[in-house]
Amino acid sequence: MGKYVTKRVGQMIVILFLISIFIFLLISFIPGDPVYAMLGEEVSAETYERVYQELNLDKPVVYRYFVWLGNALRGDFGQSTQFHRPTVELLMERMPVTLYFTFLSFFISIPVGVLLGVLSAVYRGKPIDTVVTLLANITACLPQFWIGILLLYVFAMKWSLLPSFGFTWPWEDFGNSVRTTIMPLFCLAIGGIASIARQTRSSMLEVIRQDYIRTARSKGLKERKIIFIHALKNALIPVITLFGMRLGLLVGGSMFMETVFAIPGMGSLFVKAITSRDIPVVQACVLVTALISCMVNLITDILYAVVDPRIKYE
Amino acid sequence: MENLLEIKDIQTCFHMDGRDVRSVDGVSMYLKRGEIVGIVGESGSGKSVTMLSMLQLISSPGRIVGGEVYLEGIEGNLLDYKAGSEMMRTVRGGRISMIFQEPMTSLNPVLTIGYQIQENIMLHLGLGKEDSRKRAVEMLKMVNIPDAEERFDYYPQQFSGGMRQRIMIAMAMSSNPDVLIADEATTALDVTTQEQLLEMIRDVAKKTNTAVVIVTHNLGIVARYAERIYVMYSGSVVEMSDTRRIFHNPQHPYTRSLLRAIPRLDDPKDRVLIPINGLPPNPAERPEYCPFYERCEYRMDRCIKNGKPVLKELEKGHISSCCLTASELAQKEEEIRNKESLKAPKKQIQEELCLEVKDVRKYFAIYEGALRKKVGDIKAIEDISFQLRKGETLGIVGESGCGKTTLARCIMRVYQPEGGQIIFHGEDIASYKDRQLKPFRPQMSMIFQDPFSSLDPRQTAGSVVGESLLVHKLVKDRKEYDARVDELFRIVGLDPALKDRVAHEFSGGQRQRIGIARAISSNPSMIICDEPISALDVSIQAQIINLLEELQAKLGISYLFIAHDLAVVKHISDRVLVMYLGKIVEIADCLDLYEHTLHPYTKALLSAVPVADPDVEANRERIAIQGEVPSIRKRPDGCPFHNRCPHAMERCKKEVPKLKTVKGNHQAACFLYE
Repeated sequence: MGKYVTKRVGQMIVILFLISIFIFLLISFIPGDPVYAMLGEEVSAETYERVYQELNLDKPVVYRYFVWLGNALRGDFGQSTQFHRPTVELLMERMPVTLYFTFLSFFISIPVGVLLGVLSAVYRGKPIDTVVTLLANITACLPQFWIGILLLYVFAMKWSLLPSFGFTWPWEDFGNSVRTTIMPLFCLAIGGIASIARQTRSSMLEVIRQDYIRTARSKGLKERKIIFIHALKNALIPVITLFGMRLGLLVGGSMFMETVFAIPGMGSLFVKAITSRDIPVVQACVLVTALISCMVNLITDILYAVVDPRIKYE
Repeated sequence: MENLLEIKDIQTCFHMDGRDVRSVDGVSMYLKRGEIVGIVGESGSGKSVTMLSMLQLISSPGRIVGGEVYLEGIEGNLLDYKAGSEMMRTVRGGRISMIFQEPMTSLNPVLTIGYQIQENIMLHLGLGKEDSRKRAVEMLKMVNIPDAEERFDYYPQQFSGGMRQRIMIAMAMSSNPDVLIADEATTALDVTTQEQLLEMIRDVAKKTNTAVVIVTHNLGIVARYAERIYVMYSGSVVEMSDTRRIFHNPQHPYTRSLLRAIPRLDDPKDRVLIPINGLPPNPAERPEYCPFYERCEYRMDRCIKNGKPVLKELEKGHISSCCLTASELAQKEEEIRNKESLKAPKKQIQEELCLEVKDVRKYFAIYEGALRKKVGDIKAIEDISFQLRKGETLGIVGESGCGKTTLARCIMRVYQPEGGQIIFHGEDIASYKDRQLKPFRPQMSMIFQDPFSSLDPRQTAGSVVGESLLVHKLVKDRKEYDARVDELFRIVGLDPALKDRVAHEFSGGQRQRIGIARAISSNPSMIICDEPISALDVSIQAQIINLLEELQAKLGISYLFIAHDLAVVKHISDRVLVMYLGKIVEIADCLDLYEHTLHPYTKALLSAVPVADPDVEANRERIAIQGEVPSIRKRPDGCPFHNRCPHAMERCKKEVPKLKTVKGNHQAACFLYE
């Protein structure tokens, strides 16, 4: 197990390294002058020259990459050109909000999705299955931001029950926090619940037909034990892949949510940075997102090995 | 109640295509304490479904529609309890345990074997964690799992098929059941493993006075192990008696025909197998009268009018369901015997060689690590040398993993052997390139094991058969092509009108006929038959064996007949080659091999095959063989068989014996004969 994790971590570092090269090159190849982007078009020739030197723009791209990488490893992503503050500071401010939403919705959607999936597989063809399958199929087709706008319209505008924007941490004001969080959280979680429920249902149905479930029945085990120990552990294996994919989607999805509900998270920062060509922030955001995705994949793979002993011994 | 278990008139339906198909049609059985009972029948005869129905393990779309089950010590009919009820769950696993066919899929892959056994003990014996663990380890020791304590926490995939089936037995026996049902428990295993397991089941059952039900299609197994036998056909029991009477005085026409159709290890060489014509009825269209009528050689017009025959007690402890009286049966038997003029087709073996294989080796490289570095070889086959004459059949036998199929693929030049010569009609094709091989391709062909997956599901039968005619340009025009395809269909006994159908519209036997028609379409001089009948039902096997023999006599083809069923190989082969872990251990003329066996492995193999005759079984000399076939990756040094051989000497551990002629045509690779 330890060997397996070490191997996967090693692979992750290589991948992150490659991604960092890719990000840096991509940004360097974008047309447009970064000095003008920083200081505006009306800059004097001397200032231009000074900043040009400061940004190492007279050096080859490889040199600039390693300087950037060295700084990044020390936690220095440079100054944000639009906020004129260190990028790291901005990230530290915004990232917790996004992570809060992402992980909260993630940890809500897994148990709820799995439970609904198991229920509809066990009661296949019964009313509960029909309802779950129907709802899951409908939600899976609807775009998240559309659900968000619909919720805003109904709960915030028509009924004025919930605030339409803003964000409060639960330890600052719990009531208000719940009221600002509930709609975006619902939008983020509902897609995950739907797809996890669908995947769990089909993989449960597959597993229930297997010979070893018949063996478990022939031993006289209680149905609950058969479903949750013998069947679910097997059925979860394909679902775990989905967990990883969902978390990746959630990071992207939070951009929509933060825009629709005006939440000060990393997503909205990212969007703003792109539109105003704030290159250091864009680089930092992409790298952080890549890091999160890699971590998620790593956790998924470790979870695999925990659930499916076949992987450990191969 | 004098019996331990009684099943009365059980009926089970499967809802398919909008109607109820009665797959078990009123089966009654009884079981006494400590008794070993066999249930034999072909696939679809309802034997497994009967057992599953009794335990209410039938899942949708199946449904038990009637019947009663009584178990000693339990008030009333077991089928009145719900499938998930407390009572059914104590019976299942606690009083009646079951072992299933597929050892590879019957254990849960994500739970340790220890947990799976422990769970059963805790549930049914009410022991605590520690005690149940202790008992589970004891059970594992009882079924001879080495290092039981340590392996308690292993997962099923860390064991071989035979070991997993042992674990299943340990699990089933761990709750001290009164009845153990072995549902085709050894069908997927090699003969030597099968023997070890069945011996173990019998010993354990006799020691604990557990009753055993052996469900199988193999008549040899029931002849060796069962005390009483039920014969099932098309959802009903057709005959029941003690083992001796079933084999020596069978009453029902189906039992009699079945015994005439199967090849036996102790057959004389020229015995003609008499196949049962036709197919068992589709349960959805089962007639009102006797379901065997269409295939019965004894039938009379009366059988149709009488409705479904009921089981009658002919003498004490012998029941059969046939409309005919004993004298009528005897009279028909006489007629059939006189009619049996069917002679074994005469074949001509020429001295000229069709194929000569010299020192052929095939290695598969093992790659490891991130850079896929080659770290070694799996020596799949080594030093293979033999000859095949024109018109001759050479049987190749050995257990799974011994390299039979690798050898076939080398000869077909699907694989490029690492060394040696493959001389086909005087030309060494071992190192030929694809283009050079082209003229040889039509001359050799292959018949495959699984008639279900070896035919393209979207190609019509006609184009499957005719394809090689086109590839090798053996026909001039469309008319000649059609005529040739029709002819091929007729040769293998199929109606040419069927040639526009696709594979799934045929039965297993018919598909194998298509496979044979495909193989002979290019007029080959040699056919490699890779387990051609092992996927077929016993009553169909004889049809295919007879067809192959007929074709050989007519067309003078040489066969390489690969099989693990030694009785079939004996029946069809002129010479037999025995392989063990990638090496030839013995080659001899067929009778010589079976009667004057030399190599200890061949002896063990032959002794493991059960013969469908309880008297022969009782008097046979038995050579128990220990352990399982080692993985080809860990082939022992010296003689590959030395660690399982009862005659192993010091020398066997160090030196590899060479294949040497012992007497006449008889070659063996063993130091005992030097």
